[in-house]
Amino acid sequence: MKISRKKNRNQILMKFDGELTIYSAMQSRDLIFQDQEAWPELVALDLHAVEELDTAGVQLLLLMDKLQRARAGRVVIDSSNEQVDRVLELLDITHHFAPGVSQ
Amino acid sequence: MNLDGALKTFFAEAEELLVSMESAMLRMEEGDTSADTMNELFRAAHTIKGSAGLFGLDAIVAFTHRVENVLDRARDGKVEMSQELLSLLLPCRDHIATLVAHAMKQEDNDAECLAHGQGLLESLQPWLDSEDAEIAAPIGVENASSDLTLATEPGRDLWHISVRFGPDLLRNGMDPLSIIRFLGSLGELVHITTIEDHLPELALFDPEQLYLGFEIRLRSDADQQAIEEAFTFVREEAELRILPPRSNVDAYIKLIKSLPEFIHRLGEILIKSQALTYQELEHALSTQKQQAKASASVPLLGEILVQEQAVAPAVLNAALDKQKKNAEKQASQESRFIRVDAERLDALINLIGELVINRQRVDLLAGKLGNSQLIEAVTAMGGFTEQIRDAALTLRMVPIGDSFQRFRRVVRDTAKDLGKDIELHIEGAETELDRSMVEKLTDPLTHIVRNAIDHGIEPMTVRQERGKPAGGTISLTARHDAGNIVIGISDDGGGLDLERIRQKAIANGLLDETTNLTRHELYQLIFHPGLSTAEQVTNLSGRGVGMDVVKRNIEALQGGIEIESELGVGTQFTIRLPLTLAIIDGFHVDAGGIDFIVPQNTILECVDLPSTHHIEGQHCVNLRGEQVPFIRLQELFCLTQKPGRREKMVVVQFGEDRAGIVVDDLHGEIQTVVKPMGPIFQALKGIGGSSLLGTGAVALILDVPQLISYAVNVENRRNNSVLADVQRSSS
Amino acid sequence: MNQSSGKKKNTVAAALTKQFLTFRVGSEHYGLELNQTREIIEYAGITEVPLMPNFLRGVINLRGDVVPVIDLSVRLGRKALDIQKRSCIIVVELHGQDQDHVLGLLVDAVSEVIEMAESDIEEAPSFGANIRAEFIQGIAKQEDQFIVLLDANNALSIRELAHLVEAQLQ
Repeated sequence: MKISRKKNRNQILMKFDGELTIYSAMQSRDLIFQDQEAWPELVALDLHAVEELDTAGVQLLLLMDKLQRARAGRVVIDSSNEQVDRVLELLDITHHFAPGVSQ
Repeated sequence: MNLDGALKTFFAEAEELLVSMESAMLRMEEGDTSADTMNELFRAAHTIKGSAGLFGLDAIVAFTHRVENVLDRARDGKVEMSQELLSLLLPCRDHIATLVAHAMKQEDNDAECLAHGQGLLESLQPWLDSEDAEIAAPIGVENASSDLTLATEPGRDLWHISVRFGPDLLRNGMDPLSIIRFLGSLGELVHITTIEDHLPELALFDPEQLYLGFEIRLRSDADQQAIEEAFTFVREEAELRILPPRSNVDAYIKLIKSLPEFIHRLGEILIKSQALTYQELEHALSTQKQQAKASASVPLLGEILVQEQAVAPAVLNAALDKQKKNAEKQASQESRFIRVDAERLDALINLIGELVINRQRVDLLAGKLGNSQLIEAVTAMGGFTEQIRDAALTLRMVPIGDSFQRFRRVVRDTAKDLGKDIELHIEGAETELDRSMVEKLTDPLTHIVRNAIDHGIEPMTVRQERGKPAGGTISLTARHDAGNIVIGISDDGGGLDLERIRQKAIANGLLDETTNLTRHELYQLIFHPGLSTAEQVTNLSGRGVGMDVVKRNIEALQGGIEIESELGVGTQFTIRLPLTLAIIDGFHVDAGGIDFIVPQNTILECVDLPSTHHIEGQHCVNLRGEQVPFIRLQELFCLTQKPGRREKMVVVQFGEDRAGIVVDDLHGEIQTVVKPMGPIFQALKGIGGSSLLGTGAVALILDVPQLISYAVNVENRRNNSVLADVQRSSS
Repeated sequence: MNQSSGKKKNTVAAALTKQFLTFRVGSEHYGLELNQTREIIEYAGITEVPLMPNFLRGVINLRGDVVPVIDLSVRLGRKALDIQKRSCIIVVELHGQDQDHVLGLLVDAVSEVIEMAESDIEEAPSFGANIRAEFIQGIAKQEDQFIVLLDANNALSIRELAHLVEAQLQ
């Protein structure tokens, strides 16, 4: 999986490209969190190029959310695709990533 | 990750199950109405669906599920397994096989494939009742996730499934998503709560470990066992609690208490998922507090659940026990098989081969030392080595019946396509041969069978004109014969027209008008590339695989193929293959300075040859009143003659007759590992491999039938008729 | 054309060197690519195979594998080799289309391994050499000695050898 980042003053947009699954979970973890100390209040995710999302991938997303909330920040999903949406809906975790909603 | 191993097992098992489904359906088409066959069919589909679900192979699950529904209804007698339905179910099974094959190769199911599946399911509609047709995922979804809508209907008449999976679930190649989707296929997922409470801090987070738990509310008519089945592979490490529909408040309270997360959190979850109301929760918790105060003992969290809840685990356990018992019963009824990696088996056999060679060296050395105790011990060891060898070799043998059975489908479909009625008759299915040969035989056999169906068996009208029964018969037979396996493919069709073959050969320039060939030689022309006597090369048998390729394939296995035919009556192909066991029992001899080994199973006896027979040109000896023709290896192989020795003769079985092989010396029985000689020696007749003696010297293994054929040819060229007569009368 | 040893090779050419095992058959010297040769063994007896053409001396037991032995002299069109003190068998491994083939070559003596830059290997002369042109990969000169570098895939083509055997048996 590849990640491209676009940063501006108060948000960072991370685009995930490829599979977000158990097979590359270790690398994905490193790729995602490599700059986590510098994350601003809003981390936006562009997931439309995610080829496949499985439970390992879901955990990574939830971990991002957990990290951000501990800092009074949030993770928001800017754009997505059908497969990703289905998984998030199935596990009923979309509320973690909806803009403007707090847990 | 264990994924590969488990997945491979799934594919291997799925293939077997698909074969058994086809076989069951074909039997049902032919009138088998037994409950056993119906169950076999249903169970196979059910197992494929279930296992596919665990690996997230949702396309397979979705399609197979519908098929399984129809089979379930048939099993219950709600629909009849008519010819019409069976004709639909067979292509459905084929489609499942296609989906499995795609999954195995990790290919996507393209639009055409999915449309095909959709079409099949639509045609099954009349056999599905409206309920079944609605529930279950629609097919045709590319990305394998089913369309599961989460309804929001309240109520406690839902199953509540609480699961905390083992931390290694992801590492072991499973994914909770598949299990959840599978549950969805049993009904309707009304609500799911993902428990993320156990996600650690980033520093402690292991991306391959599973931290999530789930509380699932499911509407389903399935029974508890069916729901548990979703968790079969993960049961051991998972904490699973299932509350049946209409469990009361207390049951839920107990559930909350037994779960590791914080009570209020759980309470909230249950309220949110509408298992409890807020009041009920408060009431129950306050009651508990009061009780605690009264008894001055703190009720334990994780306390055993109340009656209703306690039923659930008991029911679970009882169900598990029952499952275990059923599995055992089934296992003892069928023969117990285990799956063995083919490479490991070959490695084992190679090692045994080395053991055999080494044992011979030890034998020799023991003999040289002359120590009788040692010799005795070594002989005993030899006995065990033989037994190990035999046991290992039988592992590689498989009954040819398995291959033969596959032809049932080929014959049925092909005959149907051509509008012919053909029955397949199988004999000798239990005849065993080496695994590796079976695979190599499939193509040639298929070609011959297709030929028989296509060109051999005449159309019904023609058959009736000829006074034959309207339905044709193709027979596949197999038997052992003196170190060979003999396979016969025969049909009662039109037979081969020798005249047409001759004309065709002339037309192709293979033959000129004036040449006279024997029947045998004319038949052999069929194996000539470029000679097809069918008027059209149909799609079925004319795929560029000609009879010449068939012959080459058979010869590559060191075998031979013969044809016999009678115009208007039928045709018979006979394939003869040596049983190339990796280790054979042999008899060590020498001739002209070279060591030879005669395969033990061809030997009848060994005798001295009186010196009066050392006459050039005389090749027959009187053995107890019977004339036995013989071959002198020295002569045949043009080896250096050894003067004046007393020669020995090994009498061997040759077809229905006996023949002798005359050698210089006999050296006794040995076991020997067959070592192939390599492609350079391909054309060598009479020698079927080489072997290493205890001394390290190379010995040549005689191929007795080939040897005698070769000798006959040599004789024929010298116009000596004795052996040639024997050859003709025994073939 | 550059002559071989003694000259300084430039770095480009130096990168393109090949190693050859050189040996003697009769009075001539030959070489085979080192990466095709597996090992050299002493001549310690051979089992004849009946009715084979002259180039096929027989088979030997190579640590449990039965390997055919080719008389290279006969294969190259000369007379059969006598077994001498230094006679040995070079075990060669060729990679064919579907399988690998192992052969033994009977030679009079093995010399040494040489390294030749591609640029130092001359083309085979189109006349004079009484060996089939396609058997020769090139000619190398090593201290006044001409070494015929063989193209093993042609000179030892299993297909051709098998055909020769078949022809012999007709």
